[in-house]
Amino acid sequence: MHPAMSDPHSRESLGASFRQSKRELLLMLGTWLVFALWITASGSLLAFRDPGENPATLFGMPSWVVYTVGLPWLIADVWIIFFALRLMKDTDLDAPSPDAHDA
Amino acid sequence: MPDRTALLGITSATAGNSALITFALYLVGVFVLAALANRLQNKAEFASEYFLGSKNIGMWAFALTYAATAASGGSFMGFPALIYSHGWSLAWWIAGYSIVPIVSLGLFAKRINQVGRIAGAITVPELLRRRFASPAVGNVATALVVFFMFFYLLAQFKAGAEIMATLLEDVAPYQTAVHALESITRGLPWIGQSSGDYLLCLLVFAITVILYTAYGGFRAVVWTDVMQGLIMAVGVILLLSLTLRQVGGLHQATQTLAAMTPPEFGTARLQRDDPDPEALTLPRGSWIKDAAAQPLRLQTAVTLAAGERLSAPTSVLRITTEEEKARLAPQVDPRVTAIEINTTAYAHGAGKPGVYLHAPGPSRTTPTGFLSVFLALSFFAFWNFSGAGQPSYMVRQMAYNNTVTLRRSIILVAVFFTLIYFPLVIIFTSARIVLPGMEIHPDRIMPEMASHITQLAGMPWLAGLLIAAPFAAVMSSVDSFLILVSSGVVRDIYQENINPQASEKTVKRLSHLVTVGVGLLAVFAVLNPPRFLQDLIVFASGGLGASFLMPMVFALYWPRMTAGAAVGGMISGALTILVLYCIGYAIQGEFGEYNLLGLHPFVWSILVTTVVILLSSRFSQAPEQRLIEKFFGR
Repeated sequence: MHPAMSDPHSRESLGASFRQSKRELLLMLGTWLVFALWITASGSLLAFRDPGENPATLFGMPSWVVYTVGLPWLIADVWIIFFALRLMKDTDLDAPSPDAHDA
Repeated sequence: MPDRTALLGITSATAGNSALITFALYLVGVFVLAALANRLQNKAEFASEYFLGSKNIGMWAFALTYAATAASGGSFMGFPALIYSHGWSLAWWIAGYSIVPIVSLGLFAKRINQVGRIAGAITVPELLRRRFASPAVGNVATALVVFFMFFYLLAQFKAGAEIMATLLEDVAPYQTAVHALESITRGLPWIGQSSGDYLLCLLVFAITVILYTAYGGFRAVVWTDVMQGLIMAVGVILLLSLTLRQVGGLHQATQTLAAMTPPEFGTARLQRDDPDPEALTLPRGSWIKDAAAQPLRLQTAVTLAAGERLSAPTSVLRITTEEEKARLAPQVDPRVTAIEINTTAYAHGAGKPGVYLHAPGPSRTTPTGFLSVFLALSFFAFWNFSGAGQPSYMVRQMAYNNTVTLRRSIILVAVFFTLIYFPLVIIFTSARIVLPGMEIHPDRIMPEMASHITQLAGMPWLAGLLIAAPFAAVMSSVDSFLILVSSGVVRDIYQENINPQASEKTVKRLSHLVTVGVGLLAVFAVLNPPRFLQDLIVFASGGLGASFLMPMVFALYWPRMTAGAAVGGMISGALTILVLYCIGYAIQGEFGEYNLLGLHPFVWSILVTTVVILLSSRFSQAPEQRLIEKFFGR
């Protein structure tokens, strides 16, 4: 047994690949939170305004749709590309575990 | 000069045949891919290849099978129906898909693949069973997968049959077959309650998808998903372009939509003025007039016998937008007049121009409208985390070959969702202008639009490709779910609990048998389906997400989690969803969820499962050290 693994709560007991995955998990949850706040705030402020028969439009669609959905969607795509190309690390998925013989 | 009605009939039949040929070519492609996949089964260990493609799926295949499975019948049938019914607020409702690729794939993909490889698992219940070294965890997971996935299958089968019925409705041999089938099934219990067209299409769709899934296994499912994913993307882009041309551009469509008001539902009786009338049948969807020459639409077919001048009360839809009334006047059938009309206005949005352009959107039944802030936020969570919690996605994340594939696939899925979901909102808000009165059958708006738009554009053959898009979406989901349920029964129940020493030949036979059996059972159950597809889909995906999301998150990221907590988490998640749907049924009198404090049941299930898992783990014995080393030591 790896000596540092006696305490499951210690950082040292966990493998490097697992800790990297955990960091990426937190980044993804942060991403969700930021976009959830943006879209909810923008929608709450703009989407319920009754335009009657003369709606304000941007790119041909109701303007609230652009600010609440279209723009965040575009930025989300840019962020996803950056995350996948720059922030996410590669891992050898087939590397043997400390006790692979136990599988 | 040829008779106009006859000419229209010929044009329609020709269009139907052209679409049918395009569509048939698509189906041939599906079977060719299944045959190729089947040949590979003989070169690898059967169970791993049949259920998981030998864990060797590359970028295009992984990204498109993931995306195509996500874009199910709900995306192409239920979602368009909701856009059509409630307008632009659906853009907000679906906005969560903008970050689904990073949240859903990022949440699990790397860890679940790694843990799956360490465990030597090829199904989700098997992974959980080995992660906790507990048969009970595996058995509960299998039971929940099979239960909720079955509801998902029902919705997808209904969607497949509806699309096919629309495609074939103008084809003469098809109509003959429908009448023949109706004459056989009329009077039979259960089966006799289905309409002939729905029943025939359901059978053809089901046989097709069951056969290629059973024959080709997971790899056939993945390869057909790739083809189907590409067809979806191309289909949506083409439909967007043709629709915008038809409505005069997006700005013009928005201005036209601004003047629209919701219709009214109700009943009326049909009267004929002819003193000695012949027998008359008005199909479902026929436009008729009232005494003031205002248009109404029949929700069901009406037949008047020879000499009969007045029909029984029948369901109708009344159009309330002035511009539409004028536009529909030429389509009204002059032979009957609606009398004794009794209609009800929408609970929210009645008589309000602009209601389709902003939140909350019109609602027939809810006085506060369709979409509240809390509900929008709930769905923002639902699409991301419920999607991540679906075993059909998890199993795909166990199948890709390396993390380079994963990173590139995240980008590809993001592009795919952007090309699909936002354009769908534009297409089906515009559909209100192109096809008024589709509230009588909203789930058919996608295939109806495809047929209608391509005929107007003079390209009827294209309808086959456009209808193949939602059909492909449905097929790619059904095949995935079939293989998942089959793997649950064969791998997790039979091999793990009944006969661990089963020979490869036995496993192979049983896998084929279960795939076919589950498919046929779903067909039988969906002979009389519920009205809205999306209700079933949200229930099933919510149930799966509730059962598996948090247990899997903790299983992959929290070494201290125990087997008892995994069982408790899965069961409490499923029960939360079931209880809130039962309350919803009791209150509303129809299938639907109860949004406690305005939040979707899925959100409550996340809270409940998290508390159950944390408390159960804290108050039970710590897991074995060897399991922690094995799954968290790298």
